[in-house]
Amino acid sequence: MTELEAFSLVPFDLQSRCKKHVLIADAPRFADILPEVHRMSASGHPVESNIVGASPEDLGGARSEFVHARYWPEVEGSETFRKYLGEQPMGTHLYISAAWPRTRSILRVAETLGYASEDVQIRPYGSKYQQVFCISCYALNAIGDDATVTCHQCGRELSVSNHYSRRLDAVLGHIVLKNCPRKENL
Amino acid sequence: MRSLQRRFPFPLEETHYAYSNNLKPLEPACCLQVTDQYPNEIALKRRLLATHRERCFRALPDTLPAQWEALDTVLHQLTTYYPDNFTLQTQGDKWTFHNHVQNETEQFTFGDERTLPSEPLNWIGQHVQEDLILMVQKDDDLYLEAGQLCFPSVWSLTFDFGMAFREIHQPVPWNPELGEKIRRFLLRVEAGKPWTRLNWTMHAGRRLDIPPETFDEWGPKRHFLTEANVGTEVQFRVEEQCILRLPGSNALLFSIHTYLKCLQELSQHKDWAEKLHGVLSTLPESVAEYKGLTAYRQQVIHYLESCR
Repeated sequence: MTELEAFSLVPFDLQSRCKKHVLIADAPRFADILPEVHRMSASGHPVESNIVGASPEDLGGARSEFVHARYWPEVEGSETFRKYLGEQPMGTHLYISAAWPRTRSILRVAETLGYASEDVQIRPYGSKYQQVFCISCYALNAIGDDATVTCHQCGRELSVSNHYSRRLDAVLGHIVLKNCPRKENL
Repeated sequence: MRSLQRRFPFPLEETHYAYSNNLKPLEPACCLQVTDQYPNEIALKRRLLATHRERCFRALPDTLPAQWEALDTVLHQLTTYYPDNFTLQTQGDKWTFHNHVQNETEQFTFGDERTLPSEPLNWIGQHVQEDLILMVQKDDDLYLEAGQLCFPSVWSLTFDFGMAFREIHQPVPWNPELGEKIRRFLLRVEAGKPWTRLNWTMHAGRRLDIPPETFDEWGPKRHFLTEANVGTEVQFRVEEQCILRLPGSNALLFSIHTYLKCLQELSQHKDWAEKLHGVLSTLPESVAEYKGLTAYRQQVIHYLESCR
C-alpha cells in the first residue's frame, strides 16, 4: 500500500467547533464512511451523507444504511449540488472521500462558494493525476510510476510536475535536458 | 515622428536580497512604453505569432467585449502618450489608426471583429511591445481567458489558459501566503487606479522569448558559460508589469514589457553592478532555484567582482 493509499483510509478529524458535518463520498468509498457517519452522529451535531457519482441502485444491499443520503450522479457543473453546498449554515465542515478527479471537482465548487481550507477535509484515493501534457508538442500522455515520461508523440523525455490544468485534465510535463544534472533542469 | 526612447528600468534598490513586490501606483496612467527597440520587437512578435500562433495567442469567445475594451484602452494610451508616433481618427464606429513608426494605417469598425485582420487583442498586441493578458473576474476569482504572450519568462499560455489565478500561481517556497495576498489585492484593483511593478530574473542567451515549449533550445546555454562569455551571454531580464481594471467588462488587463541587458552592459553602471552582486550573494538558495539561477550564480558573482 502506498503512503497516499494509506492516507486515504485515515479517519477524518472531527472538528469540535463545527456545527454540522457534511460527508461526501463516491460509490467505492461509501462502505468506509459508514463508521464515520456513526462517529459524527455521536457528536450531537447534524450529519448529512452524500453519495456522488452513483445512484441508489449502485449501492445494492448497503443502500439501507444510507436511506437518508443524497445522491449526486454528477457534481461537476451541477447547479443543484452547488446550491446544496451553498445553502449550508455557517460552521459546516465538509469531509470528502472520493477518487482524486472527483475530489478536485468538489473542492473547486466548495472553494468558489467561499469554504475556507480549514472547513474541508479530504481523503482522496487513486492516482492523483492520470495524464501529463507534453509542453513541446502538446500531446497528452498517460502517467506511470516514474518521475519522467517519454512523450508518445515527439519522443521527448518529460519531467512530471504538479502544475495541474482542469481544462486539459493533465499536469504539465517539462522538457528534460539530456546530459544535465536533474536539479538544474526546469 | 519623434525618436524613440532608450529605457531600462533597473529594479534593485538594495545591495542585499529582500523580497519586495514593489507594487506602486502607475503614474502617469500609461501601461505602454515605446522604446528604441520597437521596430525589432514588433517584427519579432509578428514572426512568432505567424509561426507559433497556438503558443502566442489564446482567447475564449466570451472575452470579445473585454478584448475590444482593451483595444480601445491601448489605442488611446498610444495616441495620448505618443502622439508623434500614433494617431487615431474616429467617425462614429469607423476608426482609422495610423502607426507612424511602422508606416501602417488600419481602418476598422469598432465592435466588429470582421473588419480587423485578427481578434482585437491579437491585433492591438501587434502594435505594442508589451505582452497583453486579460484576466476575467468572476466567482470572486480571476481567470486567464485571453492573452497575447510572445515573450514569456518560462510559462506557457497554452497550458495556463483558462486557469484561475491560484491555479496558475502555486505557492512560492519561501512565502506560501504571498500568492493569496496578491490575489486579494488584484481583486480589489479599481478602474482608473492602475498599478505597476518590476520583476527580474536572469537567463543565458539573448532572447526575449523563453517559453517552456522551447526549453531544449535555450535551456542548455546555461551549461556552456565560461569566463570568456558570461558577460555577454548572461542576461539580466526585467519585466515591467502594469495592471489596470477595464471598467466595462471588469476584467484586468496586464501589460508586460520585457527588457534585457547583458552583464557586460549592466556592469557599465557601477551602482547597478554592485546591487546585483549584493543581491545574488545574499539570495536564499530556494529563491535562486526558483529563478533558475543555480547553475551559474557563482559565475555571475565572480564576473561582477572582476568588473570592480
